[in-house]
Amino acid sequence: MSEELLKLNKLYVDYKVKEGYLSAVKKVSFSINKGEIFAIVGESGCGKSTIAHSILRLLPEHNEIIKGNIFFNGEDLHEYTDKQLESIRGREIGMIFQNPLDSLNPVYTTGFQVAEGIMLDNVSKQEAWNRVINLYNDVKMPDAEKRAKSFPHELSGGMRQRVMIAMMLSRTPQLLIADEPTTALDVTIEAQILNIIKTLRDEYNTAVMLITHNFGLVAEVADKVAVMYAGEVVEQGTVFDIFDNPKHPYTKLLMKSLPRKAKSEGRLQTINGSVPRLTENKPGCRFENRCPYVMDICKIKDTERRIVTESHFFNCHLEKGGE
Amino acid sequence: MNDSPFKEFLNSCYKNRNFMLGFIMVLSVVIFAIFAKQIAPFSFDEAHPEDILVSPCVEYIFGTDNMGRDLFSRIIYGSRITLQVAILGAGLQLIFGVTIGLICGYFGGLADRCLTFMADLTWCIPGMIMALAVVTIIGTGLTNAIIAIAIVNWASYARLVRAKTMSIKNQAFIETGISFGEKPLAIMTRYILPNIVPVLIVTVSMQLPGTIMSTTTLSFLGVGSQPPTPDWGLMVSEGINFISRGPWLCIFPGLALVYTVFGFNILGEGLRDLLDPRMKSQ
Amino acid sequence: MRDYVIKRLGVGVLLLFCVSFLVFSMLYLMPGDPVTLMAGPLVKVENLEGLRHEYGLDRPLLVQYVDWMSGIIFRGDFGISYKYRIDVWSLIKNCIPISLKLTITTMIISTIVAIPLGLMCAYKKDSWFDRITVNTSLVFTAIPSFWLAVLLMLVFAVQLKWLPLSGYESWKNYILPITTGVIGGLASTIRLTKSEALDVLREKYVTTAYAKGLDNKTVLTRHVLRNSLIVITVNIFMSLPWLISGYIIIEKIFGIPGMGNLMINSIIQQDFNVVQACILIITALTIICNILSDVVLGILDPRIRISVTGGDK
Repeated sequence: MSEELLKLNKLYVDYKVKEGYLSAVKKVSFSINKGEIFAIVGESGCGKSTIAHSILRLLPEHNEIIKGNIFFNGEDLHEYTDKQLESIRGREIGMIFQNPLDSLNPVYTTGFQVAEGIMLDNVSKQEAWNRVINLYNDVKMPDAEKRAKSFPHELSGGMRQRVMIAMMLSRTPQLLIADEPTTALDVTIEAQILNIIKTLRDEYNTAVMLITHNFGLVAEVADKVAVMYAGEVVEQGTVFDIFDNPKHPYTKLLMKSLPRKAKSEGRLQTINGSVPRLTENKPGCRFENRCPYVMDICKIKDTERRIVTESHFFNCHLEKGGE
Repeated sequence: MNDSPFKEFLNSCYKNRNFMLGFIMVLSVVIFAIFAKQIAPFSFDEAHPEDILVSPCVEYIFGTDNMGRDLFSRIIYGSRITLQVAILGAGLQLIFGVTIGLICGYFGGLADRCLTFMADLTWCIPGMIMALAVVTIIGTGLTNAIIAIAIVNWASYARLVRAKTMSIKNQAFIETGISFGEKPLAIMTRYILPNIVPVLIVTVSMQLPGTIMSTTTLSFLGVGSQPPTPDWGLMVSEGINFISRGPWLCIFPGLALVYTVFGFNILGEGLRDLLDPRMKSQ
Repeated sequence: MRDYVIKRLGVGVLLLFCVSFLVFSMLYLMPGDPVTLMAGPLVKVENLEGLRHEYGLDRPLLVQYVDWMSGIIFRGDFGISYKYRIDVWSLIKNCIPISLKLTITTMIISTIVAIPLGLMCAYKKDSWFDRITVNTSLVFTAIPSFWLAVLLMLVFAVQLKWLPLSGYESWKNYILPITTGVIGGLASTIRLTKSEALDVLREKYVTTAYAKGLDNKTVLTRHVLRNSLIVITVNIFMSLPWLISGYIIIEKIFGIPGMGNLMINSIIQQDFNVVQACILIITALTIICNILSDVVLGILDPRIRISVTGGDK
């Protein structure tokens, strides 16, 4: 269980924009082991999707600059040619997206779109189709045969996400990147989809990188958690570390803003201020303008890594975090 | 901070490369048209019987035609015709389109439905065919050709103005106007029209190249300008008869036309980017 | 789908009647008189009355219209050409295939050339390839087709003498006209393909296709092109009648006896029955193309196919 599958080493992603560069991801390092569910949590726009997309080089605008290493099974994906990366996509690393409506091509049947990936492994059409039906059953798709012949707009949101999962698991990848897989879905469907992901993990030992802004979700399924703020990982640990012993001021505030926890304290806590515009090379902690414990040093010097336990660390100038 | 909005606008005009290039090209045509008499070495119909079909040389830089008329002078004078087409054509289309569009959009009802149907009708006949049909009925000649093209093109203006009017009509400031006892005519001209002007400017500038091109084509076909008018389209068609002996007769008037149309084209694109960023296409 | 097409056809026929009546009455109301023209200055005025009566031109507008229309519908009779003194249909029927051959060839060639170019422009947006293609096509939109035709003629027929100047007997005669037509239509199709493909490239399902592990070529053809084709095809279908009217000029210049040439000559000679018939046929073609484009749209886009047929298969 502890074999290292994916390892990010000091990953930087900058977007080239009109005014210069926008630092979307800064110095992010973490690793995911085989069969592990690793959650990345943070507000929208904190760079978690960017990380996911940059692993498979799928950022849409082609105006990004990526620095650092992305090791997958010990090989640096960042050094791969486009052609080499193609063979990784879908086969070694699958990825599902936030909105299952836009993620499927409206002019082809869902079955064809799943089979399209399977046929890349030189599988016959008939064989691929049979696999599609099996996969649909695996993801608990009702009426699999019929649904495989349906077009995306004839399916509900939950069914479409099942199609996406079936598509991305069709070639039994070692890692599944799930980018906000349930955000666009109802709560009941959300539970079902999570169950499917969990079951599949148990069955195929697939590691999952779960990207979400929903702490509830994390508590339910994740093994490890990285909390991101404005492009940086501010705290990382096992799910128990984070929930029972949050250290970074931001994590703490997030915990307090969870409805479940807020009950005892009477009212929901909000975090004042807004996420700064991430221009490159601005020194200091990125959370300083919203942090209740802000000190002078926070504005001029980058944060230090504080180790709590072997699995748990946070980045802050405060030695003990926000107490 | 002392930049007035107008100055700012001029500044962004200056920065827009399309607009500047188009503006300079169109301006040069306008200058040729105004100072044709001063620039052109001869009059457009001055024949030199001794110099028939002379190829381009020092005296006649673009050569002469079959009657010994200086091609360069004729092209310079031709810019007047082209600008006349542009101004009259755009003006007529605007008058037709805006009036009808305003009335339809403001009053709605039966008149609206009839006129929308008319507009739909004109849409299912290809433009050139329709223009030719109109010219058949009202007769040949440059003015008639301009009218024909206006009859073909009014529908697109009418549609635009109608849609805009309908959306503006329901806004609060119109209600205010009505409650002050303003007459429909005043509401239309003083309240609604000023709000459509930017879109109209963009549309006119986008349609102008097409208007010039179709009117010139009618002249080329012989149903627009009549000889000896120095209309560029007509000049090309007259030149075809001498295509082997005097190819310059076809080449230069066409070049002048392409220059002008291209100028209006990019001027239009520049204006669109400046005035209506939402209409920007890829 | 069938009901929908029938409904569209019904509206189309109605539109056709309106156009025909409009054209007919406009030509009826105009000052010129075909009989005077046909007879020439030598025929006495009182004889003109007789001729008018003979052609039924002294009857009221509506009667003439109904007569003309029923002739077309029941007998395929478009009336008589005042100029050539033969029936209009026998004049037109030889022209239609020539015009159609030209326009359809042009359409096919320009589509085959424009779509890959537009797709490449979208895929390699802002590259030198994109810039050159877009700017060249911008210049070409400023070139009127009559001048382009004359230039091509000048270079290839007069100067180089590779191709014949005019005529319609050999296939060589068709090269220059078709080239003119193709270049004329190229720019707009390239622009359309590019903007469509750019829209599709931004779609999430293209990212999904890449995430699946498909290679560039497959993604571009199977996903991007296939989805852009919906709008492109519809536009190409809709542009067919415009292409025909564009060919009026090209046919005239190269002396090809197609519909366009016939029509412009008839206009100059005020041969109204022929003009009417030409307008009617081209309008009918326009309406048919519009309906066809809807049908094609339904075939290409399953979302529409279903909303039109009303529900699941």
